[in-house]
Amino acid sequence: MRSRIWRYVRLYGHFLAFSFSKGFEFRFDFYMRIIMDLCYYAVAIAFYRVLFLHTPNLGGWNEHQAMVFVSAYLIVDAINMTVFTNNLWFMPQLINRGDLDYYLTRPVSSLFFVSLRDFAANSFVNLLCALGIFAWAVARLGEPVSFARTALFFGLVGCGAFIFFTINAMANLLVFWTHAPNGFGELVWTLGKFGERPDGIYRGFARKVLLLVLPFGVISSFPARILIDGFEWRIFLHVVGITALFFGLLVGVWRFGLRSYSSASS
Amino acid sequence: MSGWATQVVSFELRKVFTYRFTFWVKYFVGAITELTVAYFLWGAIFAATAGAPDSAPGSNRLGGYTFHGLLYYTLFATLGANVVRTLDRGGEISGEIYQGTLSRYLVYPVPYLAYRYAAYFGLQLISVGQLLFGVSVALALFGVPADLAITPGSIALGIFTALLSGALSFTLTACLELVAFWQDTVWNLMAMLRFIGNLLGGLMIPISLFPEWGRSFVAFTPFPYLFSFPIRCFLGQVGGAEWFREASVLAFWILATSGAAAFIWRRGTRVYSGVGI
Repeated sequence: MRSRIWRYVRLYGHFLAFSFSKGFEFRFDFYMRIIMDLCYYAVAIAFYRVLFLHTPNLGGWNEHQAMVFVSAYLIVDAINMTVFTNNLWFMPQLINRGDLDYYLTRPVSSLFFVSLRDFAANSFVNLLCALGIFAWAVARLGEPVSFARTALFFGLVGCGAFIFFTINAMANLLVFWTHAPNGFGELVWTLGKFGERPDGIYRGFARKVLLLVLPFGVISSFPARILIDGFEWRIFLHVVGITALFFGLLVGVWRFGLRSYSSASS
Repeated sequence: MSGWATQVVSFELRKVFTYRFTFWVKYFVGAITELTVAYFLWGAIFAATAGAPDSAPGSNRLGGYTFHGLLYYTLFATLGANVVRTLDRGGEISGEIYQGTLSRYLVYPVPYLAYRYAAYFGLQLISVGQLLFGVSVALALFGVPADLAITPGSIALGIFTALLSGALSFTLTACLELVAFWQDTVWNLMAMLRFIGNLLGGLMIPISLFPEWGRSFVAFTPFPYLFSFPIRCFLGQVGGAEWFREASVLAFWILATSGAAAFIWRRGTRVYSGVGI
């Protein structure tokens, strides 16, 4: 078991080395992608600054607390852009063109390979910027935040990023059956807008859907709640439970989809 | 419209409808998501600001809009933005430069950028159909809020303005895509334009909610003419004289960006090297 894990760690090390060398090969793209993500962060912050010109609170949070939430969703976005997005972008093409054959014959998990082989080195710089925004938002909170709460926040943000990845991956895997040229990943980015607003604004049936079925309300809001309001078992277990459930679903959809995969040679 | 342009428009229509399921799923999910988020967001803000001085107590308005007015703003922003920007995410021009497939257009008796615009216009027409469908459903279900003057005339003016704004969106994007003659990737430039345009163009939030200095600043950029101007036309907020004044500024930006795109095209084709036809 240990050697198996070590094999995956070494493999991921090779992915990283290759991705960094590739990232530095296209200098213009490298720097422009950093500037692009900084634009995205600036727009997100400006949007909330404008909203708070007209309201004292939003979904139960004041401006300083809402900025912690904003930093959480920017970190989730940066993790996804760094670790997963490049890979998911090409997943529909791999399936439609039959290029998946190449990965299915490797002696490692094919889902691991196609999900993690490309690490966006330039977005990694933006992950550091997103962490800087988090530090700024916490400093503005005006109250001390313990190390344990911060560590838990980052653990749950990691879960949130993984939940977003699983939803996005499952949407892309629909091409096993539909053969749509670009998959349905774009729809997930559209639905992701639910997660860019605090969960406290949602009420009734929509809230239940966003916390359980399409858990965009969990991804960034719940980690922010833990940091702002303190530890709550209910929130902690909810995030961990949804993460485990959606990982299981993704593995199931992947295996089921492979049965419908016709490959390039058929 | 020239014969070739009609053919290009017709071809684009057929291409989109090849994947009808994807087309309609994207339309409904996009519109429903935006409206649901707006419903809860503005609902939460109106609930929190009841009685606050900034929200103009008694009038229940935010930036000049009632709650229902803001929902209609979001509806026209979402569907109108599809007319302006079309379903195309960009990347066609730069893709052809990178892949060398641009070569075949260089020997055709049709100006390349005009050909691309015809294809773009075809997609705009599809989005107009979607807009009319969505707006008809909304008006039939919820009626017209008292603070807005949405009429068939305002919708027609809004569509015409959105088509003009689409020309600006096309030329702005073309300027960035043509950078592909010199650089390895340009999609991030287009993404930046999209992010900045969404906020400064009034797509994410009405410009009337910006602070005074913000409103003054965006007036000097082309962004309000991309989204805010057509949205206000749809909502019946732009009168005749005001429309001509703002449309003149929009025309200026279209001419300026088309001139820039033509200049970049001329310089770019000098350094272009394509393999085969």
